[in-house]
Amino acid sequence: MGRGYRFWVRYLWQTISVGVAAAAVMFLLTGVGVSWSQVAGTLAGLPYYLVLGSTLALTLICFTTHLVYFPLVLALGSTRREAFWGFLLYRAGVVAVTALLSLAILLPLAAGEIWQVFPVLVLVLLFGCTLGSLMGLAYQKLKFIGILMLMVIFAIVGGFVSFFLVGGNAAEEIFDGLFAALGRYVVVGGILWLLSAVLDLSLTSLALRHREVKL
Amino acid sequence: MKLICSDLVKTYGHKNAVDHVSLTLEQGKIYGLIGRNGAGKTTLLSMLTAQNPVTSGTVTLDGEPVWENRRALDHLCFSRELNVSQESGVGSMKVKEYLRLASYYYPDWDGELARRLVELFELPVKKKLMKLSKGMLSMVTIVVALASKAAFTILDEPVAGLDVVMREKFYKLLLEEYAATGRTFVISTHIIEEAADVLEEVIIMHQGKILTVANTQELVDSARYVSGRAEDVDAAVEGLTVCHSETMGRSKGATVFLKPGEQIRPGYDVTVQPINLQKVFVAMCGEEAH
Repeated sequence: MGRGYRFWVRYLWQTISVGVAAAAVMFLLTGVGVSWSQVAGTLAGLPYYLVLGSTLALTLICFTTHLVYFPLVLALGSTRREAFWGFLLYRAGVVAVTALLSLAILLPLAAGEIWQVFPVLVLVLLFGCTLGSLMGLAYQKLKFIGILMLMVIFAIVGGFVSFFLVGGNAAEEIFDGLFAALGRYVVVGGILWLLSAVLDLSLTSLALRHREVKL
Repeated sequence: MKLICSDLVKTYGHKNAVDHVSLTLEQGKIYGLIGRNGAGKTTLLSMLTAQNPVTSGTVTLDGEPVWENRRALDHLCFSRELNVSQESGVGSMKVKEYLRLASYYYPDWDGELARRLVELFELPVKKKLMKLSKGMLSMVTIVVALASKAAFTILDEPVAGLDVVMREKFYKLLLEEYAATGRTFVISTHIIEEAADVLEEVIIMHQGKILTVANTQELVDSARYVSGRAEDVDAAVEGLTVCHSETMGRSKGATVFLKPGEQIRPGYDVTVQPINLQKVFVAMCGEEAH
């Protein structure tokens, strides 16, 4: 591992810790008052919380990367190539580790449904990455659009958190329903993500090439 | 090892912030880059270290372009002024975290030196950068610059916000490091007179152009301030390089640079005084500079 990538690896593990911590909080919120017989069902919801927590962390950090981390690493002597690939490595790492953790929990609990749910979980994570990065790019050029996108994201997050606070098991059912519905459109979602990823990577590469450092 | 820029241009809109600058920085020297606000100093330094892209021109280290070149960047450190005012930016980073990140990128990072400097400056490593005073932020940039051990180390306004005791301490540390390692330092500063004794070479920049690159002592030794009645002054400096003059009623003062062998013409009722680097700078870059 080259020196230029150590920063990104460090942030990879920090993001995963944030995702796991957020998942733990959400899990505890929905787990309050659950009887022993319902524990297995509640545990099956854990991968959703993990993916949601990591997606939120990814979205925010990918957004921040364009504003803070790129200028920071360039100021410390990183090449733009290292910053680009480091950012990619970071995102791929968070998605891979979160997906594997989710898979490890889902396998013993819901092995039958796993191939319906798992692609959606991965897709949500991937969308979190590209959306966060595209928001960061938009914020740099058109602050208003960036802020608007950020507000929409926070409104959605606020809605989810409200479900956890008041919904209990209902939140889990809604999640199951939502993911099952999304599962039907996984191919379309995949194509949409691919297109957004191509746009994001092209714009990120272009922005990095012209990036001026200001701390 | 030489850091060379040739015909460097940086354009913002229709304005050339750096205007066809060519410069050679040699190893084992302390350079001072001085210029007024907006002269293009930070822009030039940013391009020399590949932190900002150039509009045109080239920057090479030992013949290799520095842009996107890991090998070249390993020898360069540009410890820029930290402007941290927002919780969301770099300001939310703790001092120790910032130093750790710096250690990732500089291959010759001296962790022991960084630790000693942190102790010497009494830097609160657990504090966020945004909680530090301007002086303490300057100290952080000094720690990064010195501990980087980069062959070419550039400091942008390193003494901004430091009190006179800390400024003395900084120059002492700089000279110790220079004597021990022979690294090249480029210091951009506004506090000229204090730095004059430390700077071996001085680069004067004005409106995006390099006015002069000279040995500091030779430049100061060649400069004279000639004053007296306007007609006497004009006659005494005739044929010499006058870079600045001011008239007050019938009196006149002129700053001249004497080339080897030249002297103020004798026989006129004028006062000739040596001047310091700051006065040289004002003469070259002030409002009435010729």
